[in-house]
Amino acid sequence: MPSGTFVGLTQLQTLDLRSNGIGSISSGAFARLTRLQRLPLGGNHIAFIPPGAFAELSELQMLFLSDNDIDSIPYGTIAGLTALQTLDLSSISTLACIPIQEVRRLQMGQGAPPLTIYMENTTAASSKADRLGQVTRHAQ
Amino acid sequence: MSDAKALRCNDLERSIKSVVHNLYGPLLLDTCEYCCVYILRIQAALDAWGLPSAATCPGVHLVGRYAGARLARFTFQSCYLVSVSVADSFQCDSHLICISLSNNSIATMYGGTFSGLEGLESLCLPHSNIAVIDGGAFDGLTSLTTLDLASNDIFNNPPAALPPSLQTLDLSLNNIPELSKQALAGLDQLKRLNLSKNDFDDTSTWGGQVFVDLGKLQTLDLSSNTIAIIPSGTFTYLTQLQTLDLSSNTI
Repeated sequence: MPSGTFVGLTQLQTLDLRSNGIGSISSGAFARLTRLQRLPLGGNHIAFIPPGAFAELSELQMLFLSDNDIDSIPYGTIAGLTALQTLDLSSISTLACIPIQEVRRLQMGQGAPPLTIYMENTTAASSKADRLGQVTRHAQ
Repeated sequence: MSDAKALRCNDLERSIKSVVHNLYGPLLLDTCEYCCVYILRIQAALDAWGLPSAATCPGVHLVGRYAGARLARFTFQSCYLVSVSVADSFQCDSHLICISLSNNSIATMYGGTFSGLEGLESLCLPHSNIAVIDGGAFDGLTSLTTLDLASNDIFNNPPAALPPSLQTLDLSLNNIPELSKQALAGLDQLKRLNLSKNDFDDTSTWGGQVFVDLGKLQTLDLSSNTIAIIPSGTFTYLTQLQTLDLSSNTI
């Protein structure tokens, strides 16, 4: 998914890229899609999320990353997603760590909406689930 | 009467009832005109009813039967309709705002079929086995806002002369392999474009120019094709696009 593919789509609210063969996304792939609210990326082969990939998506409400090959979500990935309400991390068997600190920081933000994180069948991260539960409860 | 034929007769009976039901509802007809159309419809169905065998059903040909009827909506669904022949089917009927001919067996849309229907706003032809659309098939439809050609057998570019008044164009579930630069030219009122479930694979031939007139487009569905390549700038002109569905491709 090279950068520049979606250039010009400044009013885009939904970009559905589910079930493609996407193996990687470039850091500028979603640049300037500042109105984007829903980004389904499930069912691909994304292994690595470059820092800043979602940096400009300040109106994003739903980010779906389920059923990919991600092993970690780098620091800074969700930092700018101040409108995020749904983060789908289910069915990612390779996921080893969850950015709990970032989630917590997002939830501390002024007027931050409640965030629900889905993690069904993401077993590798299950040891973190209790702590994450505290975060989401705190949010509500 | 064989079982197969009996079954078909039952189907036709249901079709007639459905057609009559549709007639009773939204039509703006006076009694005389209503009766005329009613009888013509029944006759059209009876033509098919008396077929020698179900296997060789030639279907219903709609040729000039409805000329002069002051219809507002025309619905002829699942009636084994195999052709809509030239202008006289619908000519002289400027009151018509909606034609629905879904679930029939029309193979070719000929030029001038709908000429004279300046008031027509909606033309629905899904599930009708349409493979060939002549260049002038939609000529004269100056008010058309909705054109539904979903689930047919269209394999070439969308027909060159699509009405520029179109706001909704559904070409999903066809076999279109590519779009020429002129395929969507002039459709500057288009808001919804459904191109899902076709045979698009490489969009590099589109070069962005294919969407150059679509500045009002809000929804573009390209899902369930085999698109592997989308060059930078392909969507540059779609400045009002709100929803872009590229799911189930091979990007």
